Amino acid sequence: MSREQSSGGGWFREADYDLMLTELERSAPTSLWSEVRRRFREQRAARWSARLLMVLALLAFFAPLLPLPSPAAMRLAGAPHAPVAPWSEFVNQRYEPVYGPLGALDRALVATRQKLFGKTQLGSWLGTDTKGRDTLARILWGSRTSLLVALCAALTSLSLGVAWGALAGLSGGRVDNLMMRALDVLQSIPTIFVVIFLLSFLNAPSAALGGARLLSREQVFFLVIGAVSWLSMARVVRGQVLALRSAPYVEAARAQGASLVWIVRKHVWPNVLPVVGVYVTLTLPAVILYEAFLSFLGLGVEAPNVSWGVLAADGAEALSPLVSSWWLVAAPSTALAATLLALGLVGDGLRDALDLRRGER
Amino acid sequence: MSSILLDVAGVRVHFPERGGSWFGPRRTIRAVDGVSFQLERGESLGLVGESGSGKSTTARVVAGLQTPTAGAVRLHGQLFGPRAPRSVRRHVQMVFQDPYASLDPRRPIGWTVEELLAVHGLLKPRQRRLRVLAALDACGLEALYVHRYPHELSGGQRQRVAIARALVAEPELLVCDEPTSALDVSVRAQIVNLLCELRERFELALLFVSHDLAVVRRVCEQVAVMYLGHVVELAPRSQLFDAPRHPYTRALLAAIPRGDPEHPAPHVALLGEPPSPMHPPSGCVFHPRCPRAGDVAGERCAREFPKSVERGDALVACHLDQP
Amino acid sequence: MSLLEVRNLRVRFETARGWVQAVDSVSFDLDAGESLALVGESGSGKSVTAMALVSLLPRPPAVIETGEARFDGRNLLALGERELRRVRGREIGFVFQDPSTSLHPLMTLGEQLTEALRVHEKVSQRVARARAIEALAEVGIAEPDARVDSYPHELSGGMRQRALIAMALMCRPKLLIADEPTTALDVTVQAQILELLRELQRRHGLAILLITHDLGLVADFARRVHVMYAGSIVESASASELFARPAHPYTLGLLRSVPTLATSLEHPLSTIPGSAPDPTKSVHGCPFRPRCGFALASCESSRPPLLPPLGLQRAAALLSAQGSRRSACFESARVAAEART
Repeated sequence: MSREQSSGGGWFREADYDLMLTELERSAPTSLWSEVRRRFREQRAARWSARLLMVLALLAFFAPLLPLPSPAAMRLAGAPHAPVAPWSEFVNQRYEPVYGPLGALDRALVATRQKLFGKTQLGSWLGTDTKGRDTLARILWGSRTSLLVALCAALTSLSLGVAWGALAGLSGGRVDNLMMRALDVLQSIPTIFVVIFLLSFLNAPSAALGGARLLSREQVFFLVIGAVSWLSMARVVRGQVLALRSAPYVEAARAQGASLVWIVRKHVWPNVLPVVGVYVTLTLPAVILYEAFLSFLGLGVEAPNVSWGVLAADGAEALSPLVSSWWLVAAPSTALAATLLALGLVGDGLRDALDLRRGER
Repeated sequence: MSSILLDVAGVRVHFPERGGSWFGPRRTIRAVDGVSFQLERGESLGLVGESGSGKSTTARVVAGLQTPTAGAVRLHGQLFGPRAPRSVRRHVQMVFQDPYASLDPRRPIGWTVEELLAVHGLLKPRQRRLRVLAALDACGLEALYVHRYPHELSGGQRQRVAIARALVAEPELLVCDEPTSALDVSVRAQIVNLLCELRERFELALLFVSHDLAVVRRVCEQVAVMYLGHVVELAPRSQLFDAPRHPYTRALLAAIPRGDPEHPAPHVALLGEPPSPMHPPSGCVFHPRCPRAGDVAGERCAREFPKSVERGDALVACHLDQP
Repeated sequence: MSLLEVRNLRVRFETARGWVQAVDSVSFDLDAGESLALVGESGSGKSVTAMALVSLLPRPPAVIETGEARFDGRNLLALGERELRRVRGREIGFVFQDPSTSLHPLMTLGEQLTEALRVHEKVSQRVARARAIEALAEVGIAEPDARVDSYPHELSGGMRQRALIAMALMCRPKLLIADEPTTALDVTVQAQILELLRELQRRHGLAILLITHDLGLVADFARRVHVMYAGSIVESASASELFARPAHPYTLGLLRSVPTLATSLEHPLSTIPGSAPDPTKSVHGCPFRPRCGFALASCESSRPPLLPPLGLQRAAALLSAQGSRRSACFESARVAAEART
């Protein structure tokens, strides 16, 4: 009976194709990812933006190692100091180690810096603030906050956001409905109030803990950023998963008897991934801006730590009709704007590179 | 053992209305409302009808993509559906309408065609790849296509890939849902010929869904005409096209443009449009549009649904055509 | 004089993979009250031709390189946007393929029907409404005075297409461009819509430019047919001539590859091998050559011009516009020449 012919065949004469297959296996297929990489590299703006971001990330990470003035060292006399051009004073010997509380890694980096460069530090190319602290050093140290925030947001949206969205999209029906309503509730809470509330509640020295803070200000801050950033990612992933679930090629796989696990692994996941990648690059600028915004309002990072928002706030304070310390506003805002623009361009480039049909019609 | 391969018995598919009001009564869409037919090994049946006739839903039920609300589909006497064991489901494969959407854009052709074998763990890896080449060749595609991606192929080539994918595990029944309607005219004929050829070569049973009667006539020996979830006439090809019995079949045939300016089609064959399957008419679902319902049995047509009766080789559901 | 005279129209598109010559030197005439069909497969340039006539193509990416389209004595391609708007809708009406997306979902039929009228002819709301009801009645919509206040979603597909036709006819245009007007409809409804178009044409002396891929439709409807392939017209003839004696191998292939209820089942359908050429690659010679069974050596080197086949070149046929058939094929010209000698 025909049902026993199952896999052994009889329809096809596979042996005829042996040579052809050997031939084919010699010619390596172009992998989809190498094609995507090639398309990304073809776009000049995206390519340079990606490089800029890479350099920025490296500078931020190794800021303690660089021959910069320390970000908290003050030089009150005559402050704020206007920018000094690199060619008139490239370096000077006024370095003094004044840092806030540092982690072990940063301590090691600073120690190495002291060994390497001694008292040498770069001149104040971007001027100093009203307390005589070097702007360039503060911008680079501040960028570490932005980097950390971005990392935190990326991690939560990649883990929690993707998992939540995928689970909702895959289960569908009542579970999906419940999970989405939970998102609605979370999203409808005004975050500013939550931040203020958490700061006053958790950050206040509690009597029960003998005056110790339950959570440091920074921790509260990252908690909130993390809690906010994954919501829209969950929505995006869920939408994509829902669309894929009824996509004809997924139907086709179902008609072939593929299990749910197979379909998710082989069809849904590879098709959701690009969307996730593009969406992360869209989330990051929003989160970085949000951090700056909170810090600007005085709800974020606290002295002696710095962030771009704190710097902009300090700069705005220093603005007056009598003394124009424009560099205090211009320098951090330029750094922020350049980073946001670069992230946006990378996102655009990624989207275009991942769209297989682009350029075909 | 009987030679019946596929037995579709009294299948109904009712969907709850989507996006209806939250509070009022939920209405149901009776997409398929009692369809029965049988298919022997190597036999081909065409399902024709207009949009909303339930032909595609019937195809999805047969392919095991949709659980019927009532009735049963049996393959070799064994219950068949979405929950049937994989080893059974393998014997029924499907080709979809839109070749642009039915192939995963991120998988090369070779992978797509091989998928079924990998899912079921059939054959050794090298044997699988050989089988893929053989299946592609049977569908008229050169071996070099295994490394290509769907967006590099034309519509006709993609549909060939979809057919190769369905054939790779040697199914007994192939379900085709409008496989040619998204294709260009000049390519359509290639796919029609390919299906005819493959059917003959592999003794494949075929369930072929289409709105194009001329194509169905080429591919299928048996034709079932559907209207609003019911099969109104089921007959061998020669009888259905030469001596249609049901008034709807006649109207459908008359409405097809002849492709001959000297003898144009008699213009309007039917008035109105098919009613919504959400509130089907009482009695015979066709009676509001039927040119003959007023004649004799008018009242009966509006009251009771006609049973399918054998008339010669055909099964006809019409009060006006009773023995 | 013809109502519409298109001369040497060339349109190309800028794409990421280079220039695509979508329409290549297309010329045709359409007399008042005549029906003309542009037939072709997807990518043949038939829709682009129609859209270019009334500047509905997005520019960029489209570029109209050369060409002239004289409509009632004016060159449509040289008109400014304001003048064009006066022509569009008022003198030239459109019916598009998909009736469900061409109607605004949140406006009643009456509002949409009267919109064009109130833009072009400053009439009062009451008069406009009366005209809308009249138009709905004319296209065969039952209870037009009630339907005028319904929304598109309350209508069936066929009714929507009727409403669209009514909309196109509100300002009594001289020319109706119908782009695949029945493709989205069922067979039985398709026949009704065709009958309606024929009826309107008879009643109002409307010229209709039908754009379709369906040869069966053409046979039933149009007097003159232009077959397009890869951006250019490859054959042009009256419908009866085209179906009885196709002169271009592509037309022949198309006619043979469409199954009808009459073709024999003994043999497989004859097909046109391969698929349409890649539009981004410019071709020398005849664009159909790679798929053609009759190709000559000369087909490779130069593109065959659209000429009357010599064999049919009888004086009478040349004089009357109806009988002037043309085909862009060296082989058919050769055969025709042989037949004459």
